[in-house]
Amino acid sequence: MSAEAVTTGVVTGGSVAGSPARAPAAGAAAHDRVAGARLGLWLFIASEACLFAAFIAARFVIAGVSRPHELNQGLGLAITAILLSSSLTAYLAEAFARLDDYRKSQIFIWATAGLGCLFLAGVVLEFREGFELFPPRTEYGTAFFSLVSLHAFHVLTGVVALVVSSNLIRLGRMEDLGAWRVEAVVKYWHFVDLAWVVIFPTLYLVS
Amino acid sequence: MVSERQDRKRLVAVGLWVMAALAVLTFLEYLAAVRLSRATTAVFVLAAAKGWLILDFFMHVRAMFRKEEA
Repeated sequence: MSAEAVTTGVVTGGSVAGSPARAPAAGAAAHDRVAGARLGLWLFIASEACLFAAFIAARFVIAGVSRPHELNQGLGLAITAILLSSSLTAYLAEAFARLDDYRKSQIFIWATAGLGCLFLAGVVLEFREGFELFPPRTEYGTAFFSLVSLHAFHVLTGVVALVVSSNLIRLGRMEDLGAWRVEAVVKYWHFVDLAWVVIFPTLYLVS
Repeated sequence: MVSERQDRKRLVAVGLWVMAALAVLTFLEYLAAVRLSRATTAVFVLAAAKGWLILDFFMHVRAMFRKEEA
């Protein structure tokens, strides 16, 4: 299997790349299921992207490009670094799952979930400061709390999905669909990360 | 076996390079916001570059439009 196939998950010869060889008919069925599920996931991600786009647009409509001077940009940068680091661990979890090394994949899944929890702890700190400095009744506060809450909820669901995925590995439920179950959760996690890549400048950096 | 080891090395290297690029771009974003009086365009250009890195290298978006190998 080429490294590219391992990285991208492009299927080869009717079987799911990264999973053990199996009967051609079963392999073709699994391939069809994964292809359909992958398309469904991308459509779901697109719909979620529209939701985030609406919230981000609302920030500019409500508060323009202004931001309070007391805003803790350092904390924003720190939680951004945490979330970006979790993207690397998520990527490695997927890569090792494709190589059928589920033990390592599980380690990186837990690392990703841990970083996600750390990010949420940072958001709680940010909220504590925010409630005093720019309460939700202010224009910027409305935009800030709604957008960050929406994103934090997605991070929370991502952490839950990662834990479920790790549990599936523990139970040995990876044989039928190969690494797809890890890939799906990791793609969702990367999307959550991608959303933050836009939210961070929207809330913390524009002026 | 050797090939698999190379695959692993290559995958880890790609992940680390992308991560490093994301870190540099994020720092530049922060710097632009702190130093420039009108930083909106600059930070969104940098954010777009970061988004492309995540979409392409981590989410493999191009694989969706690629024909399957025979």
